[in-house]
Amino acid sequence: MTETELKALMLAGLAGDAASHARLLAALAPRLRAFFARRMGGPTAEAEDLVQETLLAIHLKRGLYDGSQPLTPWVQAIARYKLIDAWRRTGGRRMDSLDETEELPAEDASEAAMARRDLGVLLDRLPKRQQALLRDVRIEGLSMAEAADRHGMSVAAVKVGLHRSLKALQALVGRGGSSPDGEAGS
Amino acid sequence: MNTDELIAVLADDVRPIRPGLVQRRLASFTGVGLGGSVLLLFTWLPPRPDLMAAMGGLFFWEKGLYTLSFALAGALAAERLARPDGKPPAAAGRLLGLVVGLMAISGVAGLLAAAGPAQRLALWLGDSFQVCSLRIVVLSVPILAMTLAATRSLAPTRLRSAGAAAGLLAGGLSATVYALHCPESTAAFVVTWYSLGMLACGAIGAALGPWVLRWR
Repeated sequence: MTETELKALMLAGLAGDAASHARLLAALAPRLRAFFARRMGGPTAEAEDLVQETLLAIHLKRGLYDGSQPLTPWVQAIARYKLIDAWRRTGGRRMDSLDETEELPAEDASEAAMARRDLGVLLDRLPKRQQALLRDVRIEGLSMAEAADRHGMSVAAVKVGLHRSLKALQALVGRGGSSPDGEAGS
Repeated sequence: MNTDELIAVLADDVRPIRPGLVQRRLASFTGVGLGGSVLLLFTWLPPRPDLMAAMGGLFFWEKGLYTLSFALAGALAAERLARPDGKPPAAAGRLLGLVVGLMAISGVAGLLAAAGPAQRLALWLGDSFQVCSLRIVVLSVPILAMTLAATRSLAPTRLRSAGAAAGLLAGGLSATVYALHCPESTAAFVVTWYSLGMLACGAIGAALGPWVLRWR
């Protein structure tokens, strides 16, 4: 998919078209996978975590995309940021300028560290209500309206709840899943 | 959750995005900080005794335009640098160069017109050069806290530059606030001590950026 097509999908997604947004994320996922694999010594579980973190950030920060600019550099800037951020977290190092830092040492992540950052594990640490919403809508495949019925909420409230749980998920990712409350994040 | 599931979850969360998020976030946060800075000024220092008379003169407004230009340059840069792919805009640098150049020319002209070395020194140092820059930094604290918070809530990736922009925005505004108290009215004074205070705010922002602007 070309830059022009990707950008069109992004703009449609910003206007509220969920199908375009899904197509955009699906098209970006393999690119991100290649991006991280190239820089992390192969398609490791850790690289896949970063793919997911980056997709989440692309989703949550999409309001920061300026339509007058090309999309690919915007996505790449987020991916590079996530890479450096992960590196800093593992190495306990302060993140400095991100400009063109391509050379990263191979990481030696233990199984436990990978498991801690796995989104599936993180999902289990969300508050019960948010967890239930995510599971119902996504994993059981209920529609928003069905989920709203089941939880006695309005459809709008379900949407807000889903949005919150995504943010909470993001906050958990940020903290390595150490705490179940979902207050932080942006 | 595998990546395809994640994408499906995210696609369920799509709502239309209102344009102008960066500008709105920066403006609202900065506004709150500015209010804090004005409150701080009035609980700490009296307004300049000749405020009304000064507002009838030209230099009061030149000084205000000068400090607001720093704030504008900072805001232009912050608006770009709060985005992942943002680069510092050339316009911000040109604006700073222009106003510093003009104020410096005016300052040098004022010094050359002075009667002698003693008067020249008095023009340059005024009555408050020891405290001016530091007070601008102190008054910038509430604004800087808010401009940094706004930037962090967005998605900067050049954290040092984004911090500098947030600092410059805060410094330009706090210097403008400080001018409600400070009666100094020579270009030589302003171009030196005001600029020093505002640039110090930018430097503080740049130093804090890599520490406080990290987002997830």
